[in-house]
Order: sequence, then structure tokens, then C-alpha cells
Amino acid sequence: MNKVLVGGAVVGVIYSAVGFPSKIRGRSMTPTLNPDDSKYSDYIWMSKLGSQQFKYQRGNVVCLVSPKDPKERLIKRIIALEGDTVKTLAYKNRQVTIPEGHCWVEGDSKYRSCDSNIFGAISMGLIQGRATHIIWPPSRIQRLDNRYPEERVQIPPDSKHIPTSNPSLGTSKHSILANEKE
Amino acid sequence: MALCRVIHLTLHKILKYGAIIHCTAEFVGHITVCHGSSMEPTIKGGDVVIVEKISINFQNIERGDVVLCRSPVDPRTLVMKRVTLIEGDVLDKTSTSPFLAKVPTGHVWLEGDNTEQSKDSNDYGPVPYGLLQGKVLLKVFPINRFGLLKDKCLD
Repeated sequence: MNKVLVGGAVVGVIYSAVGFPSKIRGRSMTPTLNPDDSKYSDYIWMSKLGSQQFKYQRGNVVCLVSPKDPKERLIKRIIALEGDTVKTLAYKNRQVTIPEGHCWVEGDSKYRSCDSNIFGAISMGLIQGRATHIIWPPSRIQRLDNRYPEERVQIPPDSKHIPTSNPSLGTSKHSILANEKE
Repeated sequence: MALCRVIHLTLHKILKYGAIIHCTAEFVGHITVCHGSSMEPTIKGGDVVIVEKISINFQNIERGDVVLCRSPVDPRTLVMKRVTLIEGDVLDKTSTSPFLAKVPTGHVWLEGDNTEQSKDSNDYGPVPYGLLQGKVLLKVFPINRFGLLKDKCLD
């Protein structure tokens, strides 16, 4: 009995503070997750490390509670953070400046996803964790990268969230230089 | 060798009870010290309350409940407010707030009991249910104010 309790507690700590595997349903993140030519659903590793600090970057794939239905979890990509101005795809306004503490999330599959283009910018507090890797099926094991449509996002020079340089991408360095010039 | 054994046993105990305490706080409930004056006179700064997390998971929140919520404008801070309206309720036309006439699906309307000193839904609008972190169950300290939270009169 004692062992079951302690074992359960250890699993609980890992689940709430380290991370857990999660199955992806739906096609809203196609082609990054569940591509059309794949027979099986992808499983991802949902990392909870640092989830209490809410230090997310543009391009992170995150899991969030749907603002319309609290029972539903969504997986989306962060496009813009507070202060940024984003060109929307199908929203009622052509351009949106993200309010304090909010972010703009979209699925990779444009127009096929229930995302910020429908419900607007969301509060960062709804984000539960970050998807870091695809862990199943074996042929698709890979890290999830941080790309986002930079041409649609205007980052103000005094933004608190200047993208950090990431040599594997090469593009985020550009944004820093652009910001310094301004 | 004896010392090694003592250290080993102590560490084992710390990890064991730490894990159990963490899970209780994460999934069942925890105690919290309150700050600020936005919920006066129900809760004053420095009061200690018990927050339970189970009702939130079962979507069992009603009008009049006092809840702990992530601030919609700063996810790193938690605020304590009273749920005054739930999804589908019609907002009071006389209120000065510039928001929609109805609380949208999946949202709640939060207000502090101390209306003048409270930054709440009248400032930032309806709050998504997913931001709620727990329901305040009991005031436990100071002892003379121990008890359940008295419902503020809501019509």
C-alpha cells in the first residue's frame, strides 16, 4: 500500500513537473504533426519544465486549454508574443497588436485549424506545456523546431521577447540585427 | 557507515514525503497566504486560506464561489476573485464596463468584493475558465475569522 502511494506520487511529480507523452488527434498541425501521408497518429513529448515561468518563444509548439471549452486541449504554435503586431489570416481584423500577457497561436495547417484566427489572442496562462519532440512512430522521431512566419510578425524594438540567437535556424539572428538597427 | 545510513534514510524520507506533498498540492488542494485588499471584507491581506483543486477539474464552479485564478494580463501572478457570472449570463447594463453584453462560452466573470480597489473583469473582460486554478474552501487564519466564505448577496 505504502509502495503504491509513493509510486503514484513519483508518477504525479513527473507528470506535473517534468512532462508526459501525449497523442495528437486531428490535422490542425499538419504537416509538422500527423502529416497526411502518415497512417499512425503522432505521439509527442509534452515538457512541463519551466511551465510555471511562461517563458515561451515565437515558434514554440505548445499545448493549451481551449478558451471556448475548458475540457478541450489544443496543440498550436506560438506566432506572436505581447506587444507584437501580427498580420492575421482570417480574423475579423487584418492586423492585431497582442495585449499584455497574451500571445497569438495558430495551427501549421492554415485555414484548417481552430486557432487565434477564430478566437483571437489568448492569455499565456492557458498554456500548459511545450511539445519538444515527436517520440512515436519510430520513423518520425525528431525534435520540433521553432519556426514561425516572420514576415507576418512585427516585433517592436523594445520588446521583452527579442528572439535569442539559435544557430540551427539562422533566421532569428536576423531579427536581432534588425532590431538593433532600429 | 552509520552516518551514511542516516543520510541515506533522511534523503529517502525527504524525497518520499516531498513527492506526496507536491502531488497533494498539485491535484487536491493547498494552503495559500493572501495579499492585497481586492477581496475585503471577505478576505484581508495576510489571511491564510485552503484552496481545493477538484471542483475546477470537474467544472463545478458556481456563481458566488471565490476562486484563485491566473491573471489574464500576467500569467506568473495569481489573483483571488469572486465568480459573479458564468457563461451565458447577461451583464448588468448599468455597469461601466465596455465589454460585450453576454459572458461567452467557456468564460467566467470575476469581480473583487472590494469593487473600488479591485482590478477584475471590469478592467480586462471575461476570463477563460482554463485560467482558474482552484476554489477557496476555508479561511483558517486568523483563528477568530475561521470558517467558510460567506456568500456575498448576488441576485
